Amino acid sequence: MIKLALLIFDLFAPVFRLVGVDYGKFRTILRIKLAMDFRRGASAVTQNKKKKPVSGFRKTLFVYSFMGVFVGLMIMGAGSPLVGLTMVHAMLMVMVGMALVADFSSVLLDTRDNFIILPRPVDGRTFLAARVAHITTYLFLLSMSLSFFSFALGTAKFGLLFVPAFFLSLMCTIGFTVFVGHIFYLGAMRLMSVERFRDVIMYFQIILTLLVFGGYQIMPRIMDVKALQTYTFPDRWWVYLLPPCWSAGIVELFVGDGGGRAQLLSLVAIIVPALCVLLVVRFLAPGFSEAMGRFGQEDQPASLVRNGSRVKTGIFVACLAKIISRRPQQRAVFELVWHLCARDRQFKLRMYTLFAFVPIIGVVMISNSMVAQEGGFAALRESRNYLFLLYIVCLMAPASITHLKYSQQHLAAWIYRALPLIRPGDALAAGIKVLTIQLYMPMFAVVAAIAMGIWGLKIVPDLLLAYGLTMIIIAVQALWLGRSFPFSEEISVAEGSGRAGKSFAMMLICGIFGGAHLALLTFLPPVIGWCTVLVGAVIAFGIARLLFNIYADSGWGHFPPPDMPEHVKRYDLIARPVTPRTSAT
Amino acid sequence: MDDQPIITLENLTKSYGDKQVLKGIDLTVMPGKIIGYIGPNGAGKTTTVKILIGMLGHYEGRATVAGFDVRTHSLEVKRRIGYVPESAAIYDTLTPLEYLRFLGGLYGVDEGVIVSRAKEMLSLFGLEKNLDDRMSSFSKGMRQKVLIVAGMIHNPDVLFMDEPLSGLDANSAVTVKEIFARLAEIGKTIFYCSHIMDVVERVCDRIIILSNGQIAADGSFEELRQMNKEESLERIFTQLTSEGEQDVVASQFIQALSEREERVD
Repeated sequence: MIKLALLIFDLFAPVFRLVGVDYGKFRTILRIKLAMDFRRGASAVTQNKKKKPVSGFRKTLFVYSFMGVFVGLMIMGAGSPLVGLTMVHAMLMVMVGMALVADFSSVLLDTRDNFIILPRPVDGRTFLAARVAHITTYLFLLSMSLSFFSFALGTAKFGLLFVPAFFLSLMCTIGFTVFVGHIFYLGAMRLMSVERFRDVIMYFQIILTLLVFGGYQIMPRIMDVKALQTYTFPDRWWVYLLPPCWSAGIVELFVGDGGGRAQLLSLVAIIVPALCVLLVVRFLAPGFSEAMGRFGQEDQPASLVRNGSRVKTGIFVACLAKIISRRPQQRAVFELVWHLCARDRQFKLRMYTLFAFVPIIGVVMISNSMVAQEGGFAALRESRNYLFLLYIVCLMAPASITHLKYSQQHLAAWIYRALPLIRPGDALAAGIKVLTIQLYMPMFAVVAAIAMGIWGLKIVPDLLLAYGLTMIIIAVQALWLGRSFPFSEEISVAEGSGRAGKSFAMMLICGIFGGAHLALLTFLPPVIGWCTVLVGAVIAFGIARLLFNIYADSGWGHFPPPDMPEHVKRYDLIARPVTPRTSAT
Repeated sequence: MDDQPIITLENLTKSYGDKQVLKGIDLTVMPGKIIGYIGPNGAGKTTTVKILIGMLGHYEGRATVAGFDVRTHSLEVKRRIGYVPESAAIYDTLTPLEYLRFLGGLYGVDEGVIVSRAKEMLSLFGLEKNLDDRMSSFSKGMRQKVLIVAGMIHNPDVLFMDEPLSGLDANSAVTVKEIFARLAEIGKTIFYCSHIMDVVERVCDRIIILSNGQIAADGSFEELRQMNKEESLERIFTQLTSEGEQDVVASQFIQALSEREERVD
């Protein structure tokens, strides 16, 4: 794929040379940048030369192609080509724009360039051209995999002329999106501090993930498919203000009736992005690189960080730590993990994404049952569908425990082994307690509140049972997963293999719990059923407590010296756990 | 060529915002010398180097390398210099061979030359087994070796080094220091920034101490010793760049330790 992209650029080599770009160096930079894109996310641990690790980018392209099926269906679903293609381009714009914002600072503008490429004899124009070409190729690959299916479907419906038409419109869409993305970046960097801005990027990444994985679940539900088939755009002025409509106009011009409106739209579609790209290159790009340079300077002066609020949360967490445990070491680790969970952007990214699926699954489940049962809301209130809601948190919890052990700064976890930790289980227990207070309890509270809003107070015993069973699931997962200190392992893609089976088993257990709960309510008469549920809840809490105690009681025997890479092996001696000297004192 | 200076700085000043980092540096360096450029944190060492290698454009004064003005002929300068950054920035998803071929492409050196040179140099550093491994699995020392090779793969006339020995084990460090000495013998110039005083003391022909954006001392180790009547570079350095309060700080440090002895067990 890289070779193909370079080949296409080779065709334009004379043009590049004409504007003063050193094409050889341009090609060298572009090639290495693309090669790195395809390796990103593939972990170094799987350095197996025979088995090529699937890179994150390749995976992304694959997922996008899958999403592309749903994008493509818009063409078939809509009656008029203009409407269908407007939908397609709108989705492309959203997805590509999101990807642009989410990946820009990490992939497309690598601050290491400052130290690696800048000191080498490459002139500014060549470097800028390579950068722009890299961004364009990156986005082009993304949008191609997104629209691959649209190409196929569109050609089937409109004939071969669709291919060049759609291709051209795709180019306009990308050009326009890059422009909007740049404006967003520039504006955000003017208005926000670097830290704040990184947070904003994180939220974009979350939204992007949700769109990719949740979008195709929600989309068909909120859209009236039947109305789409007969809908055509009215001939009004506002149609000309919709950017996706412009690109769709191009295709309409080629394969549709090609009326005056299509001509006008196509004109706008070509002129606006061209102007935008010119604007970006001329006026925005220069100041842009400089502003991005700020991101290279990782360490901002400490005084810039909001000190006041940190002190206050510090006191709050210290109080909380005193409540959750009597053991000083557990309290200490609790405080540490609490702050790490709250501040580690990577961890937050993974957690928020995970739990953002809760509302999505909730909406899907409830709307499914609304459709299935005639009678709408009243019937819903009579049903026992709240059980679905209550067990969603249960479903998501195991994965979050898995994530707790990963961190980019996993090496910093040496402290657990270097400190005189009497009972390493304290560190494990502290981690689970942080997750419980920061994530499970609030999530469950929200879900419970919504469920009570719909179904009323009669479900309180069910809430208790569901929560108790969730706690069991958490404890089982923690025990089963193998014991790892919080934030102590490297994030690796390769981890997947053995885990899929386990997480499936966890889902199964979760299902069995939910099913048993439902059975209790269905087969027992109401009052006895509630009492049984209450008793069950008490038992569940007891079992969860028991399992958790086993977990918290883990000794050093569960922590063999870590399996270190070859070159650090000699530090084994330092890393070996300190055995408590209880007899001495 | 030999009597032409290889690096000149004339009244070089540089500010970040209202903060003046370099306050007028004048310096002339002849080829074939190892220059130790030292100073406390924030004295302006890295800034000077960044200007000399053409990474920073906005500065006042004049800087030339190999006879070319850095501001107007930065490409000519960059072609003749090598740089080993302190930040150890490297594209670690690549293998060392790929990385060096990439740099060779940017320098416009023939690919065959680059590959054979890279293989030989990396093997001499004991990396012959890791030529095709991704650098993300490398230890700090291994990365540093790649960075050093990357700094000289195109046979530059001037080498700018920012803590080049960091992460290297003692044997490799000795090798690298020996390489520097041989490079100087064949007429290369090495601009050496470091915090490790005894290395600078032994390796460098000429030592420049920077303090607060200005040159505080300039001369060979012998000259500095006679001027300041101190035995080691470390003592000379602290004498010139601080108030000499290290003793007081150290004793206060120990005092802090004994103040409130409380144990939570």
